[in-house]
Amino acid sequence: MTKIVTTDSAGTRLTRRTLLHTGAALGAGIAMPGILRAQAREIVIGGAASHKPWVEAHVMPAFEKKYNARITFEGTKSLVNLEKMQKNKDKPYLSIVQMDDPVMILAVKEGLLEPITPAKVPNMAKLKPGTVHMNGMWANYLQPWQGIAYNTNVLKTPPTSWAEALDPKFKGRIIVPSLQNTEGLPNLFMFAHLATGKPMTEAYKDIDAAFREIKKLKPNLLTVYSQMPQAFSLLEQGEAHMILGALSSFGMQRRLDGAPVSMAAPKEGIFPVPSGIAVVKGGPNMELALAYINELLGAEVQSKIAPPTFALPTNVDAPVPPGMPTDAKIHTIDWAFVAENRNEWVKRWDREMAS
Amino acid sequence: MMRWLPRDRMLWLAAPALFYLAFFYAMPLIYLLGRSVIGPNGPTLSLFAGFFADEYNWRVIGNTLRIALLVTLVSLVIGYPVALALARARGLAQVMLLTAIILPLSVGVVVKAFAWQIVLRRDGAIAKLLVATGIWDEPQRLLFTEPGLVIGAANVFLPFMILPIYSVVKLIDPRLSEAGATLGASPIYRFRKIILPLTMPGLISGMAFVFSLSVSMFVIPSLLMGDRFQTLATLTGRSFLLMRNEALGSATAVVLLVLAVSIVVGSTILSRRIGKAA
Amino acid sequence: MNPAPFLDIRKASKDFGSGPVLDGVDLAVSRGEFISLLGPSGCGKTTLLRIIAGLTAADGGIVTLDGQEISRLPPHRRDVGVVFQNYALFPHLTVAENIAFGLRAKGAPAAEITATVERFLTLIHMEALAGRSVRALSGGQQQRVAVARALATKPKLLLLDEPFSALDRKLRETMQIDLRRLLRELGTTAIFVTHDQDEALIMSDRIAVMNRGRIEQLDTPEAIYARPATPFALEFVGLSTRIAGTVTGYDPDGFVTVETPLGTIRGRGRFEVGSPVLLGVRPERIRFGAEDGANVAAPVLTDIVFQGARIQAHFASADQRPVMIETSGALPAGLTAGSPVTISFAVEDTIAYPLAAA
Repeated sequence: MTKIVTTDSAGTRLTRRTLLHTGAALGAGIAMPGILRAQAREIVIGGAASHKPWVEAHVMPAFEKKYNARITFEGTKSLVNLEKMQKNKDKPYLSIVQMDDPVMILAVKEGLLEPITPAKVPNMAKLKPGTVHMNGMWANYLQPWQGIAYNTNVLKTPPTSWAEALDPKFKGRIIVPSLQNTEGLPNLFMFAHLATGKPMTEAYKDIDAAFREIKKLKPNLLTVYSQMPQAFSLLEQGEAHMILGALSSFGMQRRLDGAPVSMAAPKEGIFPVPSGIAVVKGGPNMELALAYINELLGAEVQSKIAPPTFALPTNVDAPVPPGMPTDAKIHTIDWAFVAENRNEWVKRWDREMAS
Repeated sequence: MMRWLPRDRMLWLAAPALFYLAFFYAMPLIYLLGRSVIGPNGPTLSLFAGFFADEYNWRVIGNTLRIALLVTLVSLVIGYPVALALARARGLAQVMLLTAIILPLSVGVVVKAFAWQIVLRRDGAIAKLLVATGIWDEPQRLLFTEPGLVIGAANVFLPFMILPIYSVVKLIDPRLSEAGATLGASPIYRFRKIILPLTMPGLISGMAFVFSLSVSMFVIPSLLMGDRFQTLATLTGRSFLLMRNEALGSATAVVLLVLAVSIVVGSTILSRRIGKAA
Repeated sequence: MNPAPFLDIRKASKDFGSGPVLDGVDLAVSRGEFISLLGPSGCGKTTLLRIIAGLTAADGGIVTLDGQEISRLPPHRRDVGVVFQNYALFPHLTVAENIAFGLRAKGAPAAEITATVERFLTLIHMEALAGRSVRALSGGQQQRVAVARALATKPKLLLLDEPFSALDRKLRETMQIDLRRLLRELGTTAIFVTHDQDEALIMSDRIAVMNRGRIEQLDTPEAIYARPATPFALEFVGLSTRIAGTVTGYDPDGFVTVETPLGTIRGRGRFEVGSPVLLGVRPERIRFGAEDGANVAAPVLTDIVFQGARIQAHFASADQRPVMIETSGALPAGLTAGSPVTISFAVEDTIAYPLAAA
């Protein structure tokens, strides 16, 4: 018997949780499905609401058939998933979480995750370097990426270097994300790299150099956004010419919708937007959970879910979807370093980037 | 024995609002205040000492006050004549004017911000007009500048300036101005000595409204100025929402509250005095 | 040599969109004169006042004051003071500040302002209230401040728009006399708008009776009362007894013989035989009993109304038309309702008006 149950908003979460945890104590009518569920193998996945369409379309049906199991996908925000894990630490009901990397770090710190190994998840061996973190605490199954979004009416050829943004001809035409947005951080590392000329793996720690270099961008800045749609609207109207650190998932979608924008992957490289998956420590049906992760890290599933999410696959056997950079350098962000210093950087950003 | 209870029973009609304010406004505010003055080792003002020792925070306070004052001033200059016209208008003209003033309130700030982008951008209507009239040699940037923010915020808060003034103006006997005229007073003298002092209560409440709204605005600066321009309100929001530094957030919120309240109260007292002296 | 009038209004007209409110009004006023514009509401008297003050723009006509055409001047350049019906005192100012307003607006020296304000406070007996807010004053006090405020700038002309209408009757009478005396002392030319005939009769040098945007009669109070020029003037000013009838004869001296339900009555007027006319007599001119050479009739007594100093007796003619007699003396003994009583009134006191015009 297979049955798909999905919930997609934080609003229904309470009801579901109540049902799952107090079902047995309530009347038989409610207790019955609880017992049935326990017999059919089931895993509950905590993920993002935006994951729901492709999980339902490309992952769930095949998986449920193959393993004679049931998946319940709770789509919400990363921080909400973290909270769910914290609250139910003694008796977890989530088996798997799909969360952003920075939140994964927090979960690791709280001891909520359990490492995965290639022995249990064979497809881990097929992953690109830099996609398994903290000794297997989590892995990236997809890499939406950050590059430069540009207006195709103004720039006839895609920018080939991040340094182009410093060209005086772009006076007041460049937009960057705020440091308070997660997508704002890669710019800092990229400008550290531009300033020092050292390889990214060394350069990114030189935050002083980063600020020194990115301050040169000030005359060219139109604004520092905290609302991405606003930034893209300015880009599409031609008021802005480039967004540094734009998300492929957003920019490619706009291009598909017919907006005069495109995404460039400059020679210095691009940054993956971390889409991680991990096992909840002590979660139910561990083997099934590992099987699910293995599927998601596999070439077959990734080749299906990469195109609609405008992301790069992490499995080396999965083809890069058309329109995506095939040979771009992909830098990994040291999220632990970020978590430690971010508030300090935000403060400094306020002072040094103020208009 | 129930002597402390209000004798006028109608006063009880205010009770639900008072309870509501006490629970949902006063209590959280007191909590916030407490947060800002109680440290791990008991009461302390170190949070404020630290806040005021940072030169950057003075800039933020300056930004906050400068923008709020400019927005208030622009709203006043634009709104006052409108309020006078609105009070004078009759019939359909008045209905249309009122609708034009109130209806924009139903359009969210985010939508407005997008609309302003179209008007304010370098190939937008304003730039084209200024270039066409020769005031500008070439299109300049208006978006994400302080003038742009002031214009935008004044646009949002204008009804809060117009309506209090209007409600006072419409109560003024039009014969007072006529009486002034027959006494030999020029239109300007009549405005200064009759209309202005009599509309002062409306002006004060309008300015208090707009100042309070603009000193604490959060979404408008982040949309119209972006992240490079911090005010006390945006700094407070960021402390709570991003940096998870509730102590700092409480401190900035308290500074903002104290500044706003003292300026509104102070200017009200001052304007009343000026109004009486005029 | 006849000097040009101090205030000269020629062909003043105004239409707010629903028919003429002022229909080409001419009015000439001499220096120092007190003229009342008397008429019912809607007759155009306030509009005429506002046109003189410049508060309402006339559609046509010329206003000349003291030899200068002021029709095109804004109100603050006209030198015409106004006392408004609701006084329009400045609520944010004190009594003294209200009185000083005009002088300050004109930039008079401070010493002159102080002296003038003190003088007017004395004139209106309000020295003690100089610093009081006008909102704290009684109606009568407010009216006096309004008059003082308007006069303090020494306007060439003072306009008063029903300034007594908000006061109670007793206060009104003393204030009317006070105001008249004050204006006479200052030699102020004044135009006074009222719908109260008593007020107009008491105060005016001349009265302009206005009806439907026109001045029907402009004359002294005595002349208007004794010889109303139109049925409207007859009806609006004082009480009147009116009888309709048809002319049956006339003589060259200006008298007509009229057949009425009250019998054959002679009165002043020039009409052709067969014209329908209205005969008007002041009730106090009617006497009890027959009198030689006078009109005599015998209507039926219907009612007696005691009014203190005066007594009214109401009669009905054969066709039930009312006839009123007013007397300040005692009524003849034995008057009972329902019985016919002989009355008489002088031919000179009986005036015939064309009926169509009524």
